[in-house]
Amino acid sequence: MIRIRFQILLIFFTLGIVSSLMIAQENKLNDKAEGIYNQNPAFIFSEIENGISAGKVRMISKYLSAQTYINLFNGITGYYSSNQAYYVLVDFFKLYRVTYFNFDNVHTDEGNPFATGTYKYLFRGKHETSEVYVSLKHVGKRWKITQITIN
Amino acid sequence: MYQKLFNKIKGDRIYFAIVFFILILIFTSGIITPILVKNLEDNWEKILSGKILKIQNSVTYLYKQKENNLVTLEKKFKSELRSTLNPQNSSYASLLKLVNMDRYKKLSIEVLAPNGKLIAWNNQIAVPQIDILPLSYPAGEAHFYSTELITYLTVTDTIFIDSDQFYFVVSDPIEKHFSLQNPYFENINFTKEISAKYLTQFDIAFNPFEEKTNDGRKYSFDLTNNNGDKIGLVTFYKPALNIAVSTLYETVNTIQSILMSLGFLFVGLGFRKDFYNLKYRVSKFILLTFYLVTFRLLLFYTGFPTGLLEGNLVDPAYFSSTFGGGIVKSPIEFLISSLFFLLIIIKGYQYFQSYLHFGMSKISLQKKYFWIYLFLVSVLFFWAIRGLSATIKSVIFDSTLRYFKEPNLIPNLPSIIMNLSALIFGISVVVVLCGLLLYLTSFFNESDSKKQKKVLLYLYFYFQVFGVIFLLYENEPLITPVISFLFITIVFILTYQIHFVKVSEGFYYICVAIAASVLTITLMNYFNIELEKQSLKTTALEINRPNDNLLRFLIKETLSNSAKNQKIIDSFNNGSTNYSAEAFKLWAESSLQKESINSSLGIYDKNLNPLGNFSIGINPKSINIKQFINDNTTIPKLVEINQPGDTVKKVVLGIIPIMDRGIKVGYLSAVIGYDLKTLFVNDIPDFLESKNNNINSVLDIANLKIFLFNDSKLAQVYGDIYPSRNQIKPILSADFNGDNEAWFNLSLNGQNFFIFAIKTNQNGVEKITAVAARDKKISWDLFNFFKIFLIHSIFIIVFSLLVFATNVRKIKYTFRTQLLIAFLFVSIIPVLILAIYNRQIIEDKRRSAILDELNERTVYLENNIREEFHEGKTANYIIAFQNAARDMNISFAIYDGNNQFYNSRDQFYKSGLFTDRLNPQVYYALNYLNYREYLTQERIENFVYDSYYKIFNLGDRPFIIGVNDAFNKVHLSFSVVDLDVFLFGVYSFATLLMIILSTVLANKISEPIRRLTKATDSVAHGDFNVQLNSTERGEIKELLTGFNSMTNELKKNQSELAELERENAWKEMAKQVAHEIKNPLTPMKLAIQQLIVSYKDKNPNFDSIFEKVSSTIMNQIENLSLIASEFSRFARMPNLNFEKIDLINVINDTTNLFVEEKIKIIISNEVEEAMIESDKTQLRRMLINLIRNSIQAGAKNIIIRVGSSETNYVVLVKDDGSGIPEGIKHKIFEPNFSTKDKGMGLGLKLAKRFLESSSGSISLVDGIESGTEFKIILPGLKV
Repeated sequence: MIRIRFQILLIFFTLGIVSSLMIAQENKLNDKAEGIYNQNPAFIFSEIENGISAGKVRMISKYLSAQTYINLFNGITGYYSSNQAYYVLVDFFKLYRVTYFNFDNVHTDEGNPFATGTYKYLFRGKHETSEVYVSLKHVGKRWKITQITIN
Repeated sequence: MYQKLFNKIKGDRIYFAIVFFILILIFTSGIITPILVKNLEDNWEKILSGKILKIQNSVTYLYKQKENNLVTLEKKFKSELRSTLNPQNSSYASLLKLVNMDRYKKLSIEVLAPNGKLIAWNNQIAVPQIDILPLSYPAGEAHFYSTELITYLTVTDTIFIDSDQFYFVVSDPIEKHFSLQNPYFENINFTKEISAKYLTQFDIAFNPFEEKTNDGRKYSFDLTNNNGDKIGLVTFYKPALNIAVSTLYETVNTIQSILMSLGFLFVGLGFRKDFYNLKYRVSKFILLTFYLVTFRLLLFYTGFPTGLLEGNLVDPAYFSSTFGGGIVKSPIEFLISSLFFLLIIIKGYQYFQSYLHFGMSKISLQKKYFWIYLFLVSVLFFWAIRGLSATIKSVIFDSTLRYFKEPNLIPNLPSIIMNLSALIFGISVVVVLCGLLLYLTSFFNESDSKKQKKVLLYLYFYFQVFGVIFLLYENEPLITPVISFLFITIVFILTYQIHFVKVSEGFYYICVAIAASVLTITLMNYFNIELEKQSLKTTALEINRPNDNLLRFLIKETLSNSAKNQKIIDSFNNGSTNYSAEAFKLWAESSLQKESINSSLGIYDKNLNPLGNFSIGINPKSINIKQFINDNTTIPKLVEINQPGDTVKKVVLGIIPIMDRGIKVGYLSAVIGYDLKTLFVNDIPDFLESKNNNINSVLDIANLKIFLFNDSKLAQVYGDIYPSRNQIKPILSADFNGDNEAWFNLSLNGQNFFIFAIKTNQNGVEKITAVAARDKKISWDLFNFFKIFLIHSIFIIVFSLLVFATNVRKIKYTFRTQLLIAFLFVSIIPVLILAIYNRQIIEDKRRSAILDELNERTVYLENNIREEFHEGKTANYIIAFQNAARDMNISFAIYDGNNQFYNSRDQFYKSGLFTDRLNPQVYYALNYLNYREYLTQERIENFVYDSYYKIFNLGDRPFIIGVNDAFNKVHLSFSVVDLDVFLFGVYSFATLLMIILSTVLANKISEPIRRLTKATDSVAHGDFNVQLNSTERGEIKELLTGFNSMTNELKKNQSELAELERENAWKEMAKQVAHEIKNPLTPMKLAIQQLIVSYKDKNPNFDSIFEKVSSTIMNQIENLSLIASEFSRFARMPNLNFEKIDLINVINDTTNLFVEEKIKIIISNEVEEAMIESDKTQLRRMLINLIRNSIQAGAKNIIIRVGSSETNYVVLVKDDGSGIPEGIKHKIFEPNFSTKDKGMGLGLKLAKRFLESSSGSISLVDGIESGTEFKIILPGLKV
């Protein structure tokens, strides 16, 4: 008798875990963004620069906004949710491996902080260069990326 | 314990051998990879030579394939041309038809008359007439012909017809020198094709004069034509060692990944039999879940199949979520994860369902815990719904696919895959929900179905109330009470179907799929409305995104990249360059095209004289760039040339000099014009617009109202509502949050709008951007429903066909099947015919509407042009046409003969995107068929548009005027896609309904016949107790009543016959016995008489006589004993006919006899097969007896479970009937014992005797609280 109850509960438990996992997919990236309040744009640009230089999206994903405009030279153009933007950028940095990146100009003294830079990468054995534009927007108590353009 | 467990696990050696082999392969590949790398490094020079040669041969081969195709077609065309250019033909009409035949539509063909005049051509002119003669290559030789935009592989040839020499050119585009981020763009690029194939950068010079490279990093080789002449030069970067090494590692990794996945699959197959032999279903479920989850993760981490695929399906730009570490990071990954999830759920459901049946008597006694379980199940129920809702929300929000706005009836592949995945996920969750409800209903195992229905109804109301409470207590409920109501209602209907209607498994899953489809679409529709609301914010952000910083960046980046373009620099040394085409190429490659913003790109010589230009939405002539050049800077100079006082419109201009080895050779200019009014309705035609115009893809921008305020003053309005002062006030005084954003409702002109407003500060000006959309409540949007349901229904129909196909061997051509096929045939065929007919009507209506629209515009133009002429405003045709274009704002072309005379959009012709020849089909219709007007479909890239041509005379001069909907948007009063969606949506819905109804009706009509067939079968197997209940009327009732009478009569006759037979047998036996007994009795009697006489006579030999007589009597007694034994043997059971049989098959066959009776028989096999040696007929008879006993004991359910125990098979037959009273349990196997009035009390006795004869046994299981359970043990077949 006890065994039957235990087994049914076990099945329920499994279902519960599956349901929890399904629910957990509601915007995980935003949850990770806790603890980045009130940092200044210069610091954020520096973090983004480090992230792009290392080709590690995880370093910049916490700054992606709910709808980020992404414009990449491989044809990706449009607004992407933070979940989508994460893998869009992961795939991009994987294919166009960065060899050098830095922001040439960082403007933080305006209502719309932005930075432009040069992205050097290796593609099929050939070194190429692209221009980068990143802008931020204040969302809640955080600065969030509103646009990333790599052309 | 572990030892015991391991002893039980046997596995399949063949599969393990394969796994072992795979492991060796993985291990070996790991060992040999460094050796291969070392070998690669040590012999790189040699390997490199080999690789270069291989690439050269391979590229040459690819080129030769294209060349051979072209030359073959050219020869074919030439032979057809010879027969077509018959001197008897007075016109070239048949020639024009030949050139425009479908088989040549991918080629460009031009035919010249002996005098050099173009007499036939097809859609695209590749080689202008002027470049055909004189022939630059010998006739029949392939060579390249390049324009600024496209390079063709071309063959020019001649043909003599009666001494007249005709010329013709056949060309195949091999490379486009531009690319567009546009869904209609047809990418033809041989260089990119081979670059992607060989993972190195290629460059092809499509001329015979290019010299081989001196760069040591590169390698060049000649391309030669079919005559061995050099026609081009291929240069590529030599493969680099580090890339070769990393490619090697990647290849090994891919192979190892595939091997690991295969290995894991075979491990599962190896343990398959042990898995089936597991006793507990829950253990099976946990193990299966563990295996499938591990397998899924293994596939994901080894990158299979994503690593092997390319394109949209693996592109996270279409859909990606960070759920589960990335197991749903692309459409294909989502599909695979959904399939694994479905597998787990289906298997879990099957185990759960059988579990409930086996444990039902125990559970039914636990009603005191019911309320606890009810609460637990209710929470899980709504939790599962929330899980599905979260998934569908992600499908909508984490995707750029706009499922309800797909322009085509059948969407693109990623959209199809996403819809399929969502459906699969929906099916899984619906199955879970049904399982939960089934669990609750099993608490009430009432024999009275009315009571059960009542319980289900109470549960339904309870869940509705609980659903509302659950939503109230949720922090952020994902769904509304209406959706919750729909979920509960549909799931309860399905549960009712399983519980009361008892449909087949395949049919049940089809119903689940339809229910899941309805629920999934409802959720998709709901979240899409939420997304549309969110898109108001995206729209506001988009309006504010092109700020000065961005516009400057775009201009700067465009100019910097363009000025470095070597082809542009080189073009200044080439006098014949078409600079408008070059400007178009630069524009197409720049962000100006990607951003789809009104812009202009111009090329100037060093004296700032314009050479060429490509502009959209901006008139370049209105901007004098000379005034901005005042230094010798080599970096882009940016200026804003806004109108004074205009704070809304922005025009940013940039100029950069083009330098060739330090010398200025020219200038490039780029202009962006930004205006809210043109942001969404720009002048960029669809075939040039960027593929990701996101705002348009989420919202129908035409329905939006946008208000821009500068320092609290209304500066600009988009839409047809100009708000009054009172209406403005709520916007300005809205409750802006910390991010300067506000969401609110506002009534404008009697309509309720949902508004997003954002406050920004630009250059000291406070700006408010308010975006408003009609407030849309959740509603059942039929269009949206059918749009997705159409796709789902295709999957469901395919699934139904698969179910049919997999069971086709099992399907018997029964009366029911015939009825079903007849119903489907009669109902679906007319629906299909109707659908095709209606589709044709829609197409005719569309053509007619477009014809009217375009004709109307030509009428306006004609009137305007004639007015200009007749009123003497101008005598110049071109000026008249230009004025008409300006006044009427209609794009059009004028043809004089087959040459374009004027085009209001000449920039597209100057840039080489369009040909200036009249469409040959139009020429044929107007010139040879004497039509006055002609509507046709034309295409640029893959964009198809309608064009209308009409002859009109201006004075005495005939012209052809052409208007199309590529440049003139035609707004039909109806949407063809919408009509198609409704048409095919309704018909697909009807088809599914017909399948369901046909199945139900066929079942219903054929039910009595099926019952009769099964009952006849039972009678044939000796079961005369079968009776058919009849609720039917008419002949069927008579038939069933007749059958019942017949079985009663048969039973009576059989009984009488048996009695008679018994009597005769006894008589016969008595005769035989008498006869046999008489034989020894006579000698015995004589012997006794002899003994008596001897005794009376005092015979002296009495002793010897006594001895003799005694011996005789003893012998006769022995004979009597033998006779008795013989008769005893004769009375025993007949000989058993032992044969090798599958116990499971016998059980299945036997239970099939009871399909039509009011008993539910569930068979649960814990073994795949159970081979035994027994008498099949006796075994069947025994099972029939047991089942018949259960039915007669009032059982509704019988569960037959087949398992194994050591070398034996165990069959448990359990029912929920009235059971056997405790006091008589010990008598049931005794002969002649029966509790039934008419029972003979032989069934169980015979069963016991049969099983004992088969070295088996039968026993009554003790401890059963209700019903009866028999345990049968049969020895397994000894191998």
